[in-house]
Amino acid sequence: MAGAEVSTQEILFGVASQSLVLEVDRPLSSITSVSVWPTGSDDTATAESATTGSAAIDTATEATTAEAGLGQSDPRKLAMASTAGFVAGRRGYVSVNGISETFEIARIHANTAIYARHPLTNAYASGATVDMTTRATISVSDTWAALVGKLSQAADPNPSYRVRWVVVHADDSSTGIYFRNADLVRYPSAPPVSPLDVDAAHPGWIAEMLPTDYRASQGRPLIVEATRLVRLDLWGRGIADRTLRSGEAYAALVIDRTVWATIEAGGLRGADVGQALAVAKDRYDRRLAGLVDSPRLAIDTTGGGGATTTKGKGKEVFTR
Amino acid sequence: MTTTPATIRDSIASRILALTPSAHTGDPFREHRYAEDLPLWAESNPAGCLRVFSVRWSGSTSAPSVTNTTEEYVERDLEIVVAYPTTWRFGEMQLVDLEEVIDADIRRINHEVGTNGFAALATAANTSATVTTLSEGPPEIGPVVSFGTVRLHVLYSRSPSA
Repeated sequence: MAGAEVSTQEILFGVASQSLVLEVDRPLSSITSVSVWPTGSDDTATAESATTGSAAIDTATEATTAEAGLGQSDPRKLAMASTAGFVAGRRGYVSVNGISETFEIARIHANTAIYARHPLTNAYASGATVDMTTRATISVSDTWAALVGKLSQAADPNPSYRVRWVVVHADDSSTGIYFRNADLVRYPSAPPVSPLDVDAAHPGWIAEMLPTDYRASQGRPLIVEATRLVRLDLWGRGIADRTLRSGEAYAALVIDRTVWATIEAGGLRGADVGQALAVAKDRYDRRLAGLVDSPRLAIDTTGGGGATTTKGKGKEVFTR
Repeated sequence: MTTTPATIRDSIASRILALTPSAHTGDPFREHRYAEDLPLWAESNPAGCLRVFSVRWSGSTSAPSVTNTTEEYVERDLEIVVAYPTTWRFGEMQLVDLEEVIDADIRRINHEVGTNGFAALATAANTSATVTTLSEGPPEIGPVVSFGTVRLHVLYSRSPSA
């Protein structure tokens, strides 16, 4: 799972060996249960047979071998004896002496250190615990993922499934309940937008606009976040993002939203971006209005993967 | 032997690019792309301006103090500006820590390309130019972005016609 801790996970229809993922901001010691229901069913209803086996908590954990964080020459660096089990892009947790924070692993260096995307907020003594026990997974049933009848409703922007995780936190042994959402889809909704695509549409985005902490990744997390924002904009119009069958149009929306969000972030920092922000927002709004609010795109109304190209049917869905 | 302003400027920029800062070592120096003045650009891009620097000539070139019609000595000032976002990321003492980082960077840059370091510039520059430091800083702390500045004075030998 990429992006925010809370996002609707897309399970791919007919694909084996998938997992549901839970990411939280506190270490976990055990998973009591994982249940999946259709969104419209109560917790008292019969759960879906969507998972198999027991949930597993990420076991990667290591002690730092040097002071880390605030005040160090590189406040992103967490030195450790081994980086086995740590994966770039995932979120971790560092703690010692009652202080703690979550962080995203930006990169792993030569089995001797991991680097956070952002400078760590706190100062950590050598021997601090770095672990990935904030993440748990459970296997999706291959059989369930291949059932046509379980496919998410194509035109409904609401997630089809609710996943209820009952967990025990490691720090205070308290029980916690988290819910996440999932859809079973034939195609993932995320468009294949790369940083180069954004830069081609808006020259200078990579070299001149990327925030410092996103330069090493060429701003990919910003594209993921922009995709989420587009998805929310579509949901706000009653459109399930996964129904869009024009990858190019979806990508164009994500590209424009990425640039808008990047400029907006500068404005929130106090930059004088009024004119640039207005241009970027107008460009996205016009694209959204032209492609989505005025129905032109072929969409998948049945969930079968095929697209309906007649404007009339598209309009029915878009205005539903 | 003669050199050119472009050779001197490029050599200084290359030396700065190669520096590893003493604090926040994971954030290297990056040269500005000069589509507009660095301060103007940084004000619009505070989140992305950390350690973006510009190296630009300032003021006019002096009349030759010495010439033999094939080589002549001239003087001109050169300004290095480094941009920083005004944030807490440099430490708990916020502005104090920011000022310390700027001071350290500026001192390091000056050491590498100013009076102490000009001899290490690329051959075409250092054998035909003398660089002396005019001033370091002080840090200019703004509400959104801050700047460190090094001003240099360059005496160099050039071709009168090229």
